[in-house]
Amino acid sequence: MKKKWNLRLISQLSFFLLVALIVLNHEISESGIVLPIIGSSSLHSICPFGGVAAFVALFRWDVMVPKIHLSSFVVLGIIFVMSIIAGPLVCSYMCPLGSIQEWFGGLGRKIFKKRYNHFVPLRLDKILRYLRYLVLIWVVYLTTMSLRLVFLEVDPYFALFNFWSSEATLGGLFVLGVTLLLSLFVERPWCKYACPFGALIGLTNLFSILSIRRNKTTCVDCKRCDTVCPMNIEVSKKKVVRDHQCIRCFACTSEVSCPVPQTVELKVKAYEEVHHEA
Amino acid sequence: MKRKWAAVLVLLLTFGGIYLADMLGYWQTTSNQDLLLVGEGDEVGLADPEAIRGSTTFLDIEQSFLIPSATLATAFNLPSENPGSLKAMDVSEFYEVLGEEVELGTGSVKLFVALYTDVPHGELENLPSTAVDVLKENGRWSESLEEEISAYIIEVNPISSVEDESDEGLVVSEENESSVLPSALEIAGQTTVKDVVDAGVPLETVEDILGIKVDQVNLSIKTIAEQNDLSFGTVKEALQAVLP
Repeated sequence: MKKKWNLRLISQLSFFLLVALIVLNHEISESGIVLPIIGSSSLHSICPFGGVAAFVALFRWDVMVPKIHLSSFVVLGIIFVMSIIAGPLVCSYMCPLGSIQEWFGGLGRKIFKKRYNHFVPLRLDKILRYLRYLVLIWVVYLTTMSLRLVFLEVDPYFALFNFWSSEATLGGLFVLGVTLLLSLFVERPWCKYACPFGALIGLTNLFSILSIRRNKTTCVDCKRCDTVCPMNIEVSKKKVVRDHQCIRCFACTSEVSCPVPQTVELKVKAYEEVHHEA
Repeated sequence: MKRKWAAVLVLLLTFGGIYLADMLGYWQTTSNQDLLLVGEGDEVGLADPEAIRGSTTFLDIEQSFLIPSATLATAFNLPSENPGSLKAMDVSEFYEVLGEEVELGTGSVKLFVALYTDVPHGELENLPSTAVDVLKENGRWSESLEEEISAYIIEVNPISSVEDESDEGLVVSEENESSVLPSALEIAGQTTVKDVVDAGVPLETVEDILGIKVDQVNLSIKTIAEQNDLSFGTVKEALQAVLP
């Protein structure tokens, strides 16, 4: 049987490695050594969330928040275009913090088997899912008012690539540690409950051109799609997944786990419904 | 859309978008794109310390020369909660108290950066002893260098924190080590309205001097002046006069 490449995993590994190399290059270029092609920009200059946090300050006060550069807005713009087309692919294909949570989650899944990702009571989980919008509003407000990157104090993404340097903050390292620990119990806890960038990009689920769609006619109602969804979305109850938490990981699709071909897919048009006459 | 096409879309949009932004001049990963590069010799292509200007921020220097802003602030004895926003010209303003005969300023920053990055330096300039300490700590010091610039080292007492600076920050000049001079708030490029208010000037007074209502106290005086077509020099002088 021909082995299929897991292109999502390759993409995740590539972006993780790329960001790590950029950070490394930034560090070693001090000694005159620079890896070719990679570039030696700072992590801030390629962080799209920096663009989000500094956006209001730029328009409200006409100043660029220190450490943020035009490149942050470029990356943010690219991700927006990508998300309008196909939803939050950035979360599942690019984000290194999302990837590392997923990899830690693999260990959790081995330990807890079916209980994995089902520890948080449903009611509490439902409320906590909106916490990330509060984080987003809080960060943008504080950045706009203080004109400083306040999120840096607790940013697990920055801590992930700077844990060894003096630039890492205690708060960031703590949040990173807690996130990785929780990943052993819950799939992508940071993404689900706290990620301010995911909160913003997740909104594109509501109107993206391509959406995860379920063919009601061919669906055998096995609920396999519900079981595999890392974000606990009940795909089997929807014709089109417009959930703000979907990360476009393709886990529920016919290409990956749905046993029936062309039943759950990322597509533009809805499936034509076939009405069976009795 | 299949997974492989999603991966292709991600790659195409990401790198195609960055390439396009670069072509259009929007891919700027540093705040100052104007720093010059060394044009000849072994150091060709490296950022040139001689291109540092008074308005160059420590963050610009960090990004061009990879010297952390905090290290620069320590070297020049300028503790700050936001060292990246300090400018080379702030060094001369801070050391004004030493008198005209002891010059520490942008030239000192250029020399320090050249020594730190091990590229040829221009004219010899004064360096505070704290800068020498930083060079020593980072292995950028040698006996030959000591011989060369020993006459240019100005002894200063290290200030360890922002609190030290505002409460009891002291600078001791080489000429008169027994005299201690208090460092009051000196309005510089990065000084914010909040800094001035914290130093004891009522916000209303600041607004009167600026002639506008200040909505954002964390904006620097200089930015507000520039945004309102005011002369920073005039504003600075007026504010300096009302500082306690």
